[in-house]
Amino acid sequence: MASLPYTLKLVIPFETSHHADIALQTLSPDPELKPDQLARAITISESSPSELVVEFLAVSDRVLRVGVNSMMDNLGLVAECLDELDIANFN
Amino acid sequence: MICYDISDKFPAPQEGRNYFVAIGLEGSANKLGVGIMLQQLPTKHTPVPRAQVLCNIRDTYITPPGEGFLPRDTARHHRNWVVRLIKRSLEESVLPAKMSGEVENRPIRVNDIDCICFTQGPGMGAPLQSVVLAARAISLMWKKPLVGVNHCIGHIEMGREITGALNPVVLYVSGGNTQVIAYSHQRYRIFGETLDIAVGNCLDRFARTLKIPNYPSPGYNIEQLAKNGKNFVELPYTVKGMDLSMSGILAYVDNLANEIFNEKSNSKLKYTTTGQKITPEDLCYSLQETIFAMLVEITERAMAHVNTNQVLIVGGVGCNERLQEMMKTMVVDRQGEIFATDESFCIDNGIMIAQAGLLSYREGITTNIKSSVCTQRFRTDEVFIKWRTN
Repeated sequence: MASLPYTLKLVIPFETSHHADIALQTLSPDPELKPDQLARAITISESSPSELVVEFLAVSDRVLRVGVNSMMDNLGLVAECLDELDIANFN
Repeated sequence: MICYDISDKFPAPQEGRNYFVAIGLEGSANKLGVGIMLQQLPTKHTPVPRAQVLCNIRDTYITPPGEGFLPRDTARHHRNWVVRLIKRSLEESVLPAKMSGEVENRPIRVNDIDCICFTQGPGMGAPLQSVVLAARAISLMWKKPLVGVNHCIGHIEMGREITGALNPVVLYVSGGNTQVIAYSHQRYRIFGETLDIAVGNCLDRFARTLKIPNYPSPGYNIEQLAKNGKNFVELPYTVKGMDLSMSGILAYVDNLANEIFNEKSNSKLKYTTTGQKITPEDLCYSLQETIFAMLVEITERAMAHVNTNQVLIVGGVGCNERLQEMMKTMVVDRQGEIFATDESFCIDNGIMIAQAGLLSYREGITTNIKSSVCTQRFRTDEVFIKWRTN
């Protein structure tokens, strides 16, 4: 196992803990493509159940940037789904 | 390895209903499609009810002439549009009064939907992944199960539903896939396929060489140019048993095109044997005739193997009318029938995913969210076709 010295922690606040949980379940299944270069853990914050915490460990800052960028894109889509496609928004 | 949750119980329709509704999300290549399908339970009067398309919308990522679509950009297109397309599909779908039992037709509601179907593969990884995110999110928000669908099975099942073909040899030809398929013992079995690139990929890449527009699709534009082709230029013909090879033909015809465009070149290749200068139209015509002839040849052989006289053409290249015409000539000679659909069902779409997904769902097959990871490689014959017998 290569050492993964470059780290970043994202804390993303959601409106409710339910939304944070949906984001967790939506983002978790897809594995990182190069697990030996980039490790990623997605959890719910222990201090606040409506906060999603994403932690990255990477072999280089380049790999870290690519991984974080892709996560931000995905988070954007999940947030848009939560905002726009809630049952309450229809009929 | 794709994992499903298989229940030994068949799910019933929602209370007081005799029908199921599914939403399908497709995004394995440059088309993003959303469709909503309604399937009725059989009754005494209609033992085999036809599925009803409530909505079938698509947004295609078009690149400039000479450029193909790259995974990253295509994924971004899908991320940008998927929510809007899902919203529009719900707004446009109407539940007929005779289904809902209400006085008037009414717009569909989220709660009318039984399951969320998505393309799990095969296809380009990044676009698939961006669409499955939306599928997971709505599955959790709407509390509806997910159903992962094999893209090829989607094409086959939609083609069967629309045309009513019972047990055809299926020619599946698109930008990413080229397969001759026939059903046997609850699998769609691959009788022949391309050994390198897909037929549609060969056409798309030749369109790039000629710098012709990618709108509405490169294949369509080649088809229109080919109508004005006058000289047939001999190209390599590469059928290998039941399989095909396309990359050598592409390299050869690309090379010819480059000679024609190169003003300085005085190569003999620029002229036909009768001394006429070869045009891009001639090349389009010759390329189509050559590769379609190869497709017809292996399809005919597959028909002989499985002893059927029905042919169903599905996939994006399937809307090429010249291919349909050539296939028809062969099929008529064998006293058979040919089935094809128009571009709304041939070209990648969401409704076919809803159709195939609903067939799985009704057999008790769903996909757990943890197992809903997409895969770029997912062969047609990996899927257990529980909904068909014999």
